[in-house]
Amino acid sequence: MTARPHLNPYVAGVLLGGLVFLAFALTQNGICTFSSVRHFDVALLQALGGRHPNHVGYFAMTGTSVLSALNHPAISMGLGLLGGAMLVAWRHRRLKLEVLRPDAMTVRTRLLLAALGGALVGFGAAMARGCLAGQFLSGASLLSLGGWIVALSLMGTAFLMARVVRRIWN
Amino acid sequence: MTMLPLESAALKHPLLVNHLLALGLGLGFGAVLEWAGLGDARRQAAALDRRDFSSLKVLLTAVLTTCLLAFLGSSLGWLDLSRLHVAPSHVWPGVLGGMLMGLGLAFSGHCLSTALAAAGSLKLDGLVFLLGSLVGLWLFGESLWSFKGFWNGSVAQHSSLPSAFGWSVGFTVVAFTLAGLALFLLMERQEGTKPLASRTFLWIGSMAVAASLMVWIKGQPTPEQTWKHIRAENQPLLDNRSVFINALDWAKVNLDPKLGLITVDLRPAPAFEAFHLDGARLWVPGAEKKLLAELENAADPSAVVLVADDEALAVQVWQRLRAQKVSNLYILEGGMAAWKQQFSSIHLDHFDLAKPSAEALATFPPEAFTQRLKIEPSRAASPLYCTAH
Repeated sequence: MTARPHLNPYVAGVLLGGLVFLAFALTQNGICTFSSVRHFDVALLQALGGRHPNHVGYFAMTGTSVLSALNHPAISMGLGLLGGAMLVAWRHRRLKLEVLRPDAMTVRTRLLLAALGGALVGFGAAMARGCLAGQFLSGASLLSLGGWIVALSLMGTAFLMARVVRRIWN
Repeated sequence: MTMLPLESAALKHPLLVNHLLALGLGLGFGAVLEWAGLGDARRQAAALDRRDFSSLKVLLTAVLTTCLLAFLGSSLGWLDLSRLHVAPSHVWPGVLGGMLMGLGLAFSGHCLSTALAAAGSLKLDGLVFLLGSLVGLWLFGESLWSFKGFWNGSVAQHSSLPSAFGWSVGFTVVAFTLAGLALFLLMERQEGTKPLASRTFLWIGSMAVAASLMVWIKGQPTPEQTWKHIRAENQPLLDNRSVFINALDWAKVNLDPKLGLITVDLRPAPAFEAFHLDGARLWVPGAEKKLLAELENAADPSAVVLVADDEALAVQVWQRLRAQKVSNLYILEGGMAAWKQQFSSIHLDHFDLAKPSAEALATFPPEAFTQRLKIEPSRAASPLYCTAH
């Protein structure tokens, strides 16, 4: 069975923008995936790291135990995101265990690049105090200077890497 | 009355409500991301390679939509923008963090949101990306001690684009909308399509321009208009005089170096030159803007005390500043006349009337202090998600 086509990008953008606005209107905050990942990360560290995480200020302020790190709306948002994507993927026949990669790239290379990219993004999002959703979708939409600084820096770097991207992905 | 944003803290089970709201918002977010195909890293890579700009179109349209809804809502008096939380603007950490995320996006084709969406549709590259991000975050936390000064530094003087450029909010929104539409046209051209032949594009573009013009023409609420919305909640503070403090309260807080105190003198310049309180600033044209910017960028909250011999003037300025979300705002009861009366009985060597010492304050009984001057965190600064600041 073939997958259903994707949504028109402009319509998708309007829906996404409406959702971010709803988030502001109902919770006083935008949407920030970084926070979900951070709380989960700290919960994992609390489970594995003994007393050490509580001696590291950045981890301790997120949660001083597994429960306190997980008992945060950001975790619910992350779980909701996973669930929403899963639901739509199933509905549109795209729910499939696979590695999405260019044909010329091996699975090993693709996963290595994914891991490297993830580490860079994780570190960078912490440095920038938010990810693309938090700083650009939420912050920049309210004309926050910080949001635009992060977004332009991100996009600018990514586009400057176009040649590298072409070599990797083509 | 301004209805939005909702105050979930006022509900019976705020944490549960916040969890449920977050879950619902996350479900919608994930659904749209997957439906738009943003969980497919190849589409991000295609955007960077300038072959298929779908993912960029989604993001930019989303930002424009939120911007127009928020500022239009504010123009119409439905939404109080000052109660929305936005992450603070640290310039160089933002630049560096953005660069690192840009590199990560180029290598992997993912950001955190799209990776979660990919993981939701069982794409292993998304899952491995997320595992990598956990490691990256962990490394940041472990190494932060070595660059904490950098991370906490370079706080932007202006927190918003309009104030940074000296533009009105409305003009900025219109400029942003037009720039966004121009970018869409460029992207469509690059892809070899004719956007002006697309009904969807024309519809959305026209509505965006119309909304932005409305924001510009209607303008943002003036302090006087905002006061009408918040009057019911704030007038009682004036009526029961709980924001009026006496001289002793001011003097006590002024002596504490840990507490921030800004004293604003509303009297005429000659009276100010003849005598004013320690550290007071004269209320001149431009002072309001400077004060608001200072309070916005301050790391810790401060108390603001208005000094005037004309109480009606003090109340008017109090209402105006309160409408612009200045918190910890007080009025010195009785102005300078009451101040001089309060300390007329002091007979100490080297007594400074503008800055009474601890020794002078000790001559007054404890019940003489009203203890009304308190400095509390701002109501707007309560981040729900991005809490690491």
